[in-house]
Amino acid sequence: MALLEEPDFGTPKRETEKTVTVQINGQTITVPEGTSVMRAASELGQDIPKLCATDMLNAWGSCRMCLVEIEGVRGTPASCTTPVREGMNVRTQTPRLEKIRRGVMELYISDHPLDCLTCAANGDCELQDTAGEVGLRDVRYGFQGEKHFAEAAEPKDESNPYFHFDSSKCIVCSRCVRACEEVQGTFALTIQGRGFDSKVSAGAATDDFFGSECVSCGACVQACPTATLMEKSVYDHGVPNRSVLTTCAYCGVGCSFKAEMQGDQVVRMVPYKDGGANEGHSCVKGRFAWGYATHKDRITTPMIRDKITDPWRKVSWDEAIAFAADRFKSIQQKYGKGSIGGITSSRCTNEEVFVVQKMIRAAFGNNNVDTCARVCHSPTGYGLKTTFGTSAGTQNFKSVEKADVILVIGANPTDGHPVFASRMKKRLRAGAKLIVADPRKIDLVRSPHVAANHHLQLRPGTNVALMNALAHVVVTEGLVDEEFVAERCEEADFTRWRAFVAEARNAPEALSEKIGVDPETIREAARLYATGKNAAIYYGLGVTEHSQGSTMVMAMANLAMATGNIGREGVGVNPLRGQNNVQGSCDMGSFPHELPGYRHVADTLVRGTFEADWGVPLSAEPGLRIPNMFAAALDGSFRGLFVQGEDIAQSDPNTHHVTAALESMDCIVVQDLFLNETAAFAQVFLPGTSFLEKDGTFTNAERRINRVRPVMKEQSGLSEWEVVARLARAMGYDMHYNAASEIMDEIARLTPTFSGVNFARLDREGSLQWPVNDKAPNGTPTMHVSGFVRGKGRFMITEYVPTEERTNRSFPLILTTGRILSQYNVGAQTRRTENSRWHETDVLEIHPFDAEERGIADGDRVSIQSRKGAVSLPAQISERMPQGVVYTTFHHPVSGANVITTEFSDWATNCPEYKVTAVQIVRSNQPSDWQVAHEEIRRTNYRTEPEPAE
Amino acid sequence: MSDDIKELIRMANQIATFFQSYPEEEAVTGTAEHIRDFWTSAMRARLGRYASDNGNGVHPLVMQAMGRLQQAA
Repeated sequence: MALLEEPDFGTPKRETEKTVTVQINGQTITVPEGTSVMRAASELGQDIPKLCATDMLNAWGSCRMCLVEIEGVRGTPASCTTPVREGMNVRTQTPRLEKIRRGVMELYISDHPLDCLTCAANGDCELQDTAGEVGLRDVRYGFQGEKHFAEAAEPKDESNPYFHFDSSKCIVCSRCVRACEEVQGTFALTIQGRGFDSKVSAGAATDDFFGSECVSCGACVQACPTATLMEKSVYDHGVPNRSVLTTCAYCGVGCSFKAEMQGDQVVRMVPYKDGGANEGHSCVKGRFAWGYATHKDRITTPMIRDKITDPWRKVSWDEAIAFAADRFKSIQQKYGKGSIGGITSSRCTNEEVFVVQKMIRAAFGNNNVDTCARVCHSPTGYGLKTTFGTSAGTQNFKSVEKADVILVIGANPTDGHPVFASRMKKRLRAGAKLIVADPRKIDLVRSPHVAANHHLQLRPGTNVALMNALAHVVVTEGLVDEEFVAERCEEADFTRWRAFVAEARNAPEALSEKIGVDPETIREAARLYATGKNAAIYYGLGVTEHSQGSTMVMAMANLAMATGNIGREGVGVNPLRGQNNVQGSCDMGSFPHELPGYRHVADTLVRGTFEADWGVPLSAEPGLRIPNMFAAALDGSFRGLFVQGEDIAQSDPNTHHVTAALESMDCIVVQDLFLNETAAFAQVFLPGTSFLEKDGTFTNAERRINRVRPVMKEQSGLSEWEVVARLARAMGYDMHYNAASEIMDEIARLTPTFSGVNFARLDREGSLQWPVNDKAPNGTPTMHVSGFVRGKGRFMITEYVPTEERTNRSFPLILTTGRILSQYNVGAQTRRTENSRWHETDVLEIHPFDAEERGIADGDRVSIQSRKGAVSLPAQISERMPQGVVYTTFHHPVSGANVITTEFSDWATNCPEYKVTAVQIVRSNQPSDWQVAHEEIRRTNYRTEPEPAE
Repeated sequence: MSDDIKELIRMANQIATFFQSYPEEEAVTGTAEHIRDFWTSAMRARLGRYASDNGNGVHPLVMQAMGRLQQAA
């Protein structure tokens, strides 16, 4: 595709059913009421020259370039700030307008360097284009403007690793400042000074971009009409000349991007305005942190070894696949069919995941397949399926624009799901109310122009108690939506639930001591949620990664049903998925008890359709979950594992237990981009493909199926699905596809919720939200509109059961874990980009009192000790933490955050309880024993045989 | 008691603890169905053997659920 230049209508689209008809240059157009004259003209194909206007931002009216004449109106109003009126007659091009525009442009150019031929924006500069449009031929005021001309200007600010700020090119249109405010919601930029002295500034006078509050989302870069804010990659390589539309491979928001290219080299990633999930916005990871795809650490040649202490030996694809198949077959001959299995990855495409679970079920002959969602959102699947009937969130992201009350629980969207957080903050700035339930003072609690109405700073592990207390208020204060419940929910279950939560032991007053929140605050929050019109719940792993994760998901579903907050825009129960394809990997049959489409393996009819299609009998018995695999490995009954794009040695809890299990196996096959922590215990390494090389689909948290398109050839020479198909064939099962689209055709054939999905349709329509089938031919942005998928909604009893992980005198603090904006999960991708400059090491956040009590100063190295192990990290004293709770991230392997976490897990799904670990913190001046041993493993288990001499 | 049987007991007891809020018959059914739907046959068999032989530390609902699963097998 040539360079895809999206039209810029100048001002945002208005969404109203009322319309207005106007005449522009003699042509008639009907547009929604409130539309600007500029946009109406642009929609007619008659663009009006502009500089300060762009359709991602509200009209500003400062550049005076877009003036028009309107019949019956005096003067020449700015078309961007003038809304259309019925019968309006507009002229956009007259001799008077030409003269004014040219005059204005002369003023701009008088203080702008004329280095167009050597400027990084040459060919991509709106100032240059507009000067051409207005016919600028001369500048009467000379070219030596004092304030912005190169010689007088401040030096370029190159502090940000991804873009530079060159104030000499600035025309003070304020688009960057407004983008930071309106699109991103960070308010990091401002215009400093007045009149001709006006300059863009990143905060205080001494701040540079890197040291400022800028979160490097790039909205300002995208908004800049000149080369003032410009990607360094464009500066280095020149403007791109072709585009490929694709989908980000970081979090579950699933942003659409234009990969802008020169040849097969990515020059920049530009968020796509027509992307349903992001509508033209991005974060620092998606827009900038893609350099890992070509990082020198990439392994692009298959490798094998007999023992994990042997050096890796580079081999051909055929030899690696034959080696893996021989080992797996030999294990099965000796220990039985169920002695091997595999793990799928939420970082891979639906098609890649589908073939791995198919290989395990059809070629391995068992259901020992699990996925990394086991350790994040498996309780979401269980809880929402039990109450609503389907394992997915209820809304699209756009729905938040209609929410009046937003309840954020156990999620930190500004760090974990930043693009959605920006949409949420926009709605909050427009007046929606906010309740945050989180032990930490996350940014949403108080940030520029956003403040939570209630911060329920609960103790880790008391989520269910909090939800029961909220529900108690709803039930006992007459706030139930009786009509909704009577019509939409199972009566007997509701009656039972109502009696349960109404019990005095569930009152806020009875539970407040356990929860750690004042009862009146809980009551006020419950009233706000129940009576504030549209109330929406957004949650993350702070909900699911508990021993009562599934109970908590059901408790939230209960609350939403009881208040009628399901089945329309602006409401719902919305999981914020951690990885790009968590939803998809679950949809694709990655769980050991479910075939694709969440249908149990014991269902004879469903299994029969797969057996007929795949030509092989399938097991009706549930297989092993990941924790069960580790246990079975240690008892000697499970001895071979295929791991697709997942670093279980770093990400799974209780590292000692995990690595002991991995060491005890006979064959581990890792399919990944890098030699990750798990690869230290592997005998076969099969190089994977980055998202820039993949052809397929991702499904984001709003069930949106987006195309992922390759922008370059596979670095390893083979697609991941082809490698899996070859391994399946080597195992004796004939799996063959010519293209990824054929895999999606098979998914659609076998999965009722995907029956209307195919690549051609996705290419035509952009994206689709499942279910897409005869009942919902155009997809389903909002679920459960006229009835629940299971028929009637089911209220579940959600008794609060404290975790078995308890604090005591030896381990008096609770450790909870999470992630940070600049890094992503185990960090395999982001650590190999400049993003690490924002987070070079994991730190332990600790409350000032807890620190002082232990004699810990900011930056001191401390040892974090739990019942499972110890690691040491630098301490960061933080008022964000409540007393008694400490926090760290797990982005750097050497931190070993999971050395400390326990084997406790959710009762229904075995999702680990990452969020509650009892610990003690003491000052330390050395790495822990585990960290020393880890360094040794890095020296011994990653060696590669030297290349033979030519 | 081996670590793996301890772990199975812990998991089964957690399941029973959730369902014990329901009337006994529903609680036994819920516990049994959960173990049937999500556990491997080897895990079920191992806990079933322990429940039959000894059953120390096993939640009463799990004992009933395992009995029901063994009957159905």
